[in-house]
Amino acid sequence: MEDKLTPILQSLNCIAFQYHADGYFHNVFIDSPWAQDLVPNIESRPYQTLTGHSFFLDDFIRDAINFWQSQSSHLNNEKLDSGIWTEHPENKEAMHLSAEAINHPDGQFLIIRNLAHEFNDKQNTLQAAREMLIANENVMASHQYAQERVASISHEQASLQRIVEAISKAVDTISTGILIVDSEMNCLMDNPAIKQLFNLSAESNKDSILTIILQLLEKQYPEFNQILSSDETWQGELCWMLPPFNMKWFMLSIIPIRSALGKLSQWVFITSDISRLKHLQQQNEKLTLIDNLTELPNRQYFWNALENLIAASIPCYIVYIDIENFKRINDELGHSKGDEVLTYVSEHVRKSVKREDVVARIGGNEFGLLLQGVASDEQCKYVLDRIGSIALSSHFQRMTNNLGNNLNIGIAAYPRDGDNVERLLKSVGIAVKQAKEKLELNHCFYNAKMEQEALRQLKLKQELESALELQQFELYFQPIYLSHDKKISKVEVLIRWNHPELGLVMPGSFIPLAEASGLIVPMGKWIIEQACQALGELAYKGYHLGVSINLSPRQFNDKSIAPFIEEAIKNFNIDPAQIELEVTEGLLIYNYDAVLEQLKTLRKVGIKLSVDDFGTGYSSLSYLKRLPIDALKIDRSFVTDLAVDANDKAIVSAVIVMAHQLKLLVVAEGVEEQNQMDFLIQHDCDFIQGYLLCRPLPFEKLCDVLAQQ
Amino acid sequence: MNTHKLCLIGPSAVGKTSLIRQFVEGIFSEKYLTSIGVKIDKKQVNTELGGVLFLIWDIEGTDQFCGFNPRYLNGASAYIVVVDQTQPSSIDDAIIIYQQAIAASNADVYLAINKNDLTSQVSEQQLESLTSLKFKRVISTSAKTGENVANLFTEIATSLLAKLS
Ligand SMILES: Nc1nc2c(ncn2[C@@H]2O[C@H](COP(=O)(O)OP(=O)(O)OP(=O)(O)O)[C@@H](O)[C@H]2O)c(=O)[nH]1
Ligand SMILES: [Mg+2]
Repeated sequence: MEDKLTPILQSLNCIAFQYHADGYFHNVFIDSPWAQDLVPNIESRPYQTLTGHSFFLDDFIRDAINFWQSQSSHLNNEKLDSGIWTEHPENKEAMHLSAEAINHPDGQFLIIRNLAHEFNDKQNTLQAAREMLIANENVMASHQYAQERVASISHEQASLQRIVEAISKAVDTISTGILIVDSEMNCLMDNPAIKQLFNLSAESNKDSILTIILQLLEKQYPEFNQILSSDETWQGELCWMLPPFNMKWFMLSIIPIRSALGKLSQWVFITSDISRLKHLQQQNEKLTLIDNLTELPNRQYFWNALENLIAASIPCYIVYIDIENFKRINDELGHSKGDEVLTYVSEHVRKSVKREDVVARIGGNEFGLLLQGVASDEQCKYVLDRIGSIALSSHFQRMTNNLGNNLNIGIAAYPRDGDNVERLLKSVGIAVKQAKEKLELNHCFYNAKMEQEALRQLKLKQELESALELQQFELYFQPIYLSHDKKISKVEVLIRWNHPELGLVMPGSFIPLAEASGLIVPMGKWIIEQACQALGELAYKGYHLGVSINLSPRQFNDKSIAPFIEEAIKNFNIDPAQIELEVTEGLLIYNYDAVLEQLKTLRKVGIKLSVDDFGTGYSSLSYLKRLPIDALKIDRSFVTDLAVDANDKAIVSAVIVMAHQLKLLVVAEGVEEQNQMDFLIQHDCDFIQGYLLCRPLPFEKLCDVLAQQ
Repeated sequence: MNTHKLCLIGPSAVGKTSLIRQFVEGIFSEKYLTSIGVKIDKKQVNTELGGVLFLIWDIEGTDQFCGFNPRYLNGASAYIVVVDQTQPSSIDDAIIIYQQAIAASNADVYLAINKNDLTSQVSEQQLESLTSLKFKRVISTSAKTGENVANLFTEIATSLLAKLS
């Protein structure tokens, strides 16, 4: 036991003692190199008072003994913490320690920890934070002082001469810059400090400073002219770029001075250098606005950084990176694996960009970048390729258990794609969404078309919500033929949307929207009801067909689906075996246990089950064998190339053979050509579905076709 | 020799560490290095009534980032509340710290109004609200020039010795 504890205690960088009531301690664990420095000859004295070596420790031991002896501490496990202290043994480095007195049923312990790292972190953080407080107070104090002086003089309604004199006296020696201009923006007076602020020599022309300030104002405060015409005191921050690398931040107050008649006569510009303050602020934000896991700045920091770039009119690229399928990593491999992946990606991204570029963690599985000095989209792509390459690395694949995780990257450019933070983040959000949808490219640059498309989708989604109520949906039926006699054996129901403006809308454009919003559930129930009703009518007409209905992932996971189907079957008085539910292969490979249970529940109702799109997922036939399934549908992509692709021929014939061995029936969909059908029949495919034999039809047309049979 | 624990408390950056450094080592530095936790120095003071060994506790400053830990005052014979006359906010903060301190300790309290080599930014009125509290002595110091620094410590030592006799 002790052997096991040793490395743990060592890694905690602590020493431990047990207290005995007589004021003496027993050494419990003293195997740390600094123990000697705190308590000399510690090893030779296994039983000692520990006092007389450190004033702080002596003091704490007194409090600790009181604590151990006090009544209350015996009630439960309690601790007394000394807080950090610094010990400086002679001729040695300073140590930063903390002590804890612990009351435990097994005894009373004193633990002393060495907090070298914690101390440095805390010191850095507090240093930056406190310096910022001070800098803020100092700059504001002198800026305010100058402003108050000017205000008090302006109340005296004195002559310009008097104002200039008074202000000069007050401000000549301070580091706050002053400029007085007339109502026409001609410079009347300046002080030495303002020249220093703008790095100009004492002899330089005072007009040049005014020119710089006015230019900055025009760029950074487009509303500035309005401010001037309001004749009121204005205050703001200006960023001044000094090519090539430097930048300075100023606090600027502009105060109007009126003549005796109340007419504006002069403006006084008061300027303070707040670069240091800004720098400290940024440093402080870095220390506090940081994501603990990746140690990257957080969303707030990212927002601020972008805001600063915009304030300074510095062009940049804004990049969002999203780890695809991240939820699966967390769900299937556990959260600690998820954390590992996040850390790995964050390090990779950090290494892929320049030091000055901002990399932040802006969401659970999202990173944000601000790239400066990138000249073109082309150049930007180089950076993105470097970042995107991670998904190809074998280390990453191994780490994610080959779950097929990829990076989706969206990009917007400032100022091209927006001139404020909200607008730009919206643009980049649209771009990353697009990247998720596009499979072939992992990155996407924002463009206005994308946004129109997104808006169109949004509108469609809203219209979709009322489509059910407005009875705009219609069911179509595509016959599925028995291959040996070409008789219609069953029909697949397919939904169409009669859109008032767009006409007939295909399911591909609205089912994903319905699935995402959850509308698929009521819509799916409507389909089931309509299908049952159609079956009833067909039976009345003397046709006994099966019907196959697609079930989306959300519907499949809906617990109320099985009782609902049962109810519908009863209401329309149909044989449950006439109904076949199609679920996609992709759905089955997640979460085996839950899938199996739901399939069993549905099976109990008496309906049949089949697998749609077979071959597109990653399942194997042997996996499907373990599920209660009756049939599978070979995905249309294999059927399409049957005539030309030898590979597909081999796959399809093998699937048919193996499916039959597993007692599964096989349907081929998307059959459009005679030679495809010939091949399928030749290889004993059970059912054929496709344009070659019949398109999807409205109910009446279906009845006509059945009548002709 | 009489040994006494003496604590310096107050808002951050008012000059607690600097006062101790000036007193113990006779050094002043313009550079600000904020204190974390506690550091103890010892220094002997000789007075007409005899010698005292001070264990001087330099305690981290109290501000929005770091609270005041009254336990540090346990066993102290006296403590000094330090404020900075160029930082008006330090006066208001000190009033709160004072109240927390006297609730925890009966020791003598001294007030050092530090940085007296710089122009005061504090109004008479504001200062009055602090100095009217029950300080054994209010003294204006400069860790930079050393003004009143040794005096303050000697006075505390004398007072402690006088109590004994
Ligand atoms: N001019 C002047 N500056 C001083 C004086 N005392 C301290 N300073 C400066 O004020 C700053 C803060 O001094 P510290 O002694 O570190 O302050 P502190 O109270 O120990 O600060 P924390 O440990 O953060 O609570 C430093 O930059 C010192 O140089 C003084 O009497 N006069
Ligand atoms: Mg200090």
